[in-house]
Amino acid sequence: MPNAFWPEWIIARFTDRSRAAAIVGDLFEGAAEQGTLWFWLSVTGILLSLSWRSLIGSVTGFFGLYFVHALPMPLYSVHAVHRPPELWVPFFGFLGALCMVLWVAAPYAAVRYGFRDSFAQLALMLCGLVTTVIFYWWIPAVDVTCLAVALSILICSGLFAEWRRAFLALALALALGLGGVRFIWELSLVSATLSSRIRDSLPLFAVALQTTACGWMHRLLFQPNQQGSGIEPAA
Amino acid sequence: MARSASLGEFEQIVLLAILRLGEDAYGVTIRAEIAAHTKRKPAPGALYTTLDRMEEKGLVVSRLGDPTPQRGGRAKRYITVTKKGRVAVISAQRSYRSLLQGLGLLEGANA
Repeated sequence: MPNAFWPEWIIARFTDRSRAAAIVGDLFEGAAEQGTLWFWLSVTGILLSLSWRSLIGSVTGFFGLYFVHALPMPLYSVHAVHRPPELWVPFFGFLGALCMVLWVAAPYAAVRYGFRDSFAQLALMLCGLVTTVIFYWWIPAVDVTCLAVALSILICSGLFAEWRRAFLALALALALGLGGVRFIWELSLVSATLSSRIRDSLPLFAVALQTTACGWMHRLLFQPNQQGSGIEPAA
Repeated sequence: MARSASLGEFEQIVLLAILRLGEDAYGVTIRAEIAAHTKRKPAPGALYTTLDRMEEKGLVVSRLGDPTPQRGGRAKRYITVTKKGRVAVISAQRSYRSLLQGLGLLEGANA
């Protein structure tokens, strides 16, 4: 019988533990007839099937971050011409950080969960909203429209359970992503020897943290263990 | 009347296999049932991701059985088709039947 600890542990990273155990149990049954090689090939195939969206989503998130890193220059030129009032500067600082994690979370969620998923829809909407506010805050019509959209999102999140879950999942995922990146940045300031290495790999850390946080929160709030989910089986 | 969920070809095959197996539908038996009737054995990865997707859509539900020594002490995950799944597969098969009507593809030399 093949050693199943590692396959089960790795499969459990992409689904829940009970499913991973059941999958490996099924493979054990198959391996009794088809051999160890079949077992490992099947484990590889299952891992690829379960993880390809997540991997491509992470790569897309990295490109999102790369894109948002290219934004500061046009942003500086916009803010040089239309300088925000001093009181608004901390607000724009927060929006800038939020924009960075949203440009990772939104492409990741769109690829990982599809455009029909409310978590992905909310992330894309907020990403567009925040980016628009940062660049066009000085146009009153844009401000009013963005405010109306933001209020609509808040109202929908209060009224509909699906949107409430999406809002909660995204808020927690973004908080984890922002907190994690901030922590790593602070760490890089403390340790002089590690600082350059940490700063060089900060984009990778940021993408890994944000995509992992999105995955956790989505799984926690959208894919709870569906045993006894109350859906009535067919007669 | 609410619209039934749209199903891909493989989803229909899996749902029909589960319905045929009744209480004994889990990964191994579903693969074997599909292989016996379609002459092609689905990759385990394709089957499990399809089952997960259909469970998210509410087309099937799963429950864990008892752990067995043959499976290294791991439980079987039994799958049952929900009413929604049954309605979806009936609707898809009706569409196929309607499209086939009058073509005579299943008669004579083609049968």
